[in-house]
Amino acid sequence: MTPGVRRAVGGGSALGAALLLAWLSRAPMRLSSSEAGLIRVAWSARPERVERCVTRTDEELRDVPSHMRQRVVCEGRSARYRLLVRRDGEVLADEVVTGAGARQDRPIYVLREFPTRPGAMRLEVSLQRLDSVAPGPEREADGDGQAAGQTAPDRERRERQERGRRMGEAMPPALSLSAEQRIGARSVLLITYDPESRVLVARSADGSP
Amino acid sequence: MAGTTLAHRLATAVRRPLAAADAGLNRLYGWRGNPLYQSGTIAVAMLLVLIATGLWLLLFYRVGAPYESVARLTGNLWTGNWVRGLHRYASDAALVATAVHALRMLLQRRSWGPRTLAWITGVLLTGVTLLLGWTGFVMVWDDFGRQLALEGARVLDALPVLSEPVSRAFAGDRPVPNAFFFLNLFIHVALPLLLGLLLWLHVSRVARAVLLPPRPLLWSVVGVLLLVAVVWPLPMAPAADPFTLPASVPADWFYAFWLPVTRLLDPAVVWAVVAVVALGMLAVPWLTRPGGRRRPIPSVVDRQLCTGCEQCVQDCPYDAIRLEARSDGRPTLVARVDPLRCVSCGICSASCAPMGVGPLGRTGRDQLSELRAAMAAREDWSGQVVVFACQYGPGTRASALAAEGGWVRQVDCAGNLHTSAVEYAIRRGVDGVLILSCPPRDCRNREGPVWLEQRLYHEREAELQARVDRRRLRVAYVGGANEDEALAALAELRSAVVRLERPAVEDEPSLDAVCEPSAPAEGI
Repeated sequence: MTPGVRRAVGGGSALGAALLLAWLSRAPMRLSSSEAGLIRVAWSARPERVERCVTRTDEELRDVPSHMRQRVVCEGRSARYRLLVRRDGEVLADEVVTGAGARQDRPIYVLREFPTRPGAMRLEVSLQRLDSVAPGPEREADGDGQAAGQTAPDRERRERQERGRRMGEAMPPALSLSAEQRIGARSVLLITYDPESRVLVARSADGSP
Repeated sequence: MAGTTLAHRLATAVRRPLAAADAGLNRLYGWRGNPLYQSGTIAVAMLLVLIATGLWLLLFYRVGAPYESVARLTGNLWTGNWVRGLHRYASDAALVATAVHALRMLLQRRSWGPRTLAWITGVLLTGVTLLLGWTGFVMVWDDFGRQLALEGARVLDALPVLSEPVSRAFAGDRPVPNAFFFLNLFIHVALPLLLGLLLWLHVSRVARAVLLPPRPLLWSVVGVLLLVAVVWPLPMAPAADPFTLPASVPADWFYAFWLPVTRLLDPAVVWAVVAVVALGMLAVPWLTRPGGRRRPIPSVVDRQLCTGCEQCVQDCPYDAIRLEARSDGRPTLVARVDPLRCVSCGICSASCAPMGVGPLGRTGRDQLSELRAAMAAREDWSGQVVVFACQYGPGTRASALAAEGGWVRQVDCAGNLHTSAVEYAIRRGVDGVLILSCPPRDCRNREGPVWLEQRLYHEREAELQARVDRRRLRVAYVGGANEDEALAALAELRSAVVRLERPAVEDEPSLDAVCEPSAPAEGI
């Protein structure tokens, strides 16, 4: 092999190797040969609380440091819910969902995916609280706000507001969605919880419910 | 036993095509330009290219609009597209070079003992590089990036450490939070710092670490990648869409080769496979460690002979030799080998003029004794060419060399060959001495060929004495599979020495006292 030929072959080989590298850097990777669509049930929301609240007396409050003088103290856990997903009457999921975290005191995170044939279908998704929840403390024992200087009225008002906010954020005891839906090939129908309207909604690629 | 045989067969099966590739590339580019010999340094060079191009790309990246910012960059033909292409191709080349480098080290049995740290940090470097690539592709937030993110999240969610599943972030009920892209960008920028630290550890046990390839090769590699980045621009894949299920995505197979497999597996199985592979890779130093008698032993110093000249300290490729104060009252220092750092390469055997250091059985004195005994069998060595050949490289072609008339002496490394042995052979009347060495960048002892040449031609201790006729000496750097080149070097030397006058023959050459001890050494 003459030097010129060797140089040409060497250059060509280097270019060929680089082109192979560039092709492998963008070569198509087949993910699925199926035309199936997907029902994705996904949301996160704070569950209601199953808890017992105690209104502390002025004497009890006096025994704790001032920054810990909370009039109403609640202990308990998050409520459990039953998630039921049906497609054309066929049960896709029937399970109990709970709050996340080791103590199950975090919001409920739902993420379930169900491959499905494209086309029209009747989809039913429901979430039903399983535990009974006692009435809120502000309804059963609302402090009078005149606790001999132990808890300032403003603080108790803020405590009430905070409890109210939490209850307001919590999912309703029951959610359901039942509707005719159409899923295109290789597309996703998302069933999610809308915290503004506090209902389950369906969304797809075109944004339509 | 069966496992050892299987491993041996497997190694042989891989070694053959690699040797053939070495030979082919040696023919095309010469050993100086053979990229397979420079795989480790090419990986480092690509890392530098990645840092340079990455800093430029970082100026234009927006965590609030990842896809749009990358698309805008890709649309800029002059200052964006080719930079992104070079960044991508350099990352791929870095991974390929890393894989080749690891394979070579494994096949050359350079993965155990004092090299354990280098191997383990190499495995960690590879893991960090893969993670770096993963975050880089997610940054773009195209279909491919989303698939990587989904799969990573799915596998991560199997660990009971996060209260909120990461996968939820990509469900589509809400936009992917900017915090995710910010965290991803932070990791992508921070990981190179970890790479740098690991690289420092990786080479910390070698002396005179070579981190970059020779400039012609460096610029050739960068130039070819740049050329491809310009003539075949990197396209933008479709933007990530949580409401579609792409049938296929344009993927980088170097970094996502695992994706088609792991998608089909349960996350627990994926973790198990990752753990087994990682532990298997990390255990290589112990799995490949030769057992019993086959394990090379570290060099030792004959304290009686050592003059404290420091040459072995300078030559040791692994910084395994130090000088320390003597305890016998002599005014010089004495060399001491750290057995935890010594890989038993034997380079020091040839660096010591009084032949006072080296692995047992492979010191200069041992070489000389062995050669003397072998040559005593014949009276007349005229017409004969002695071939000293590295047993791991051109020495594997001993039978072909012998068939062409060479008297082949295999050495552990050409860099181990003491110049006294060369002188002895020539003064005993051989026509010539041919030293067949592995190419410098393919020497399993790193610097053997470099020191050899300096000892023969550049007066480096222990230098070949001036009285030796250099016309009867040749050094050729030949790959193990380049048999034709080895034979050509032999033929060239034979034809050259034919024209020379007959050498003066000494029945029992008396070498210079500096090069040969007068009395057997003690205390080795």
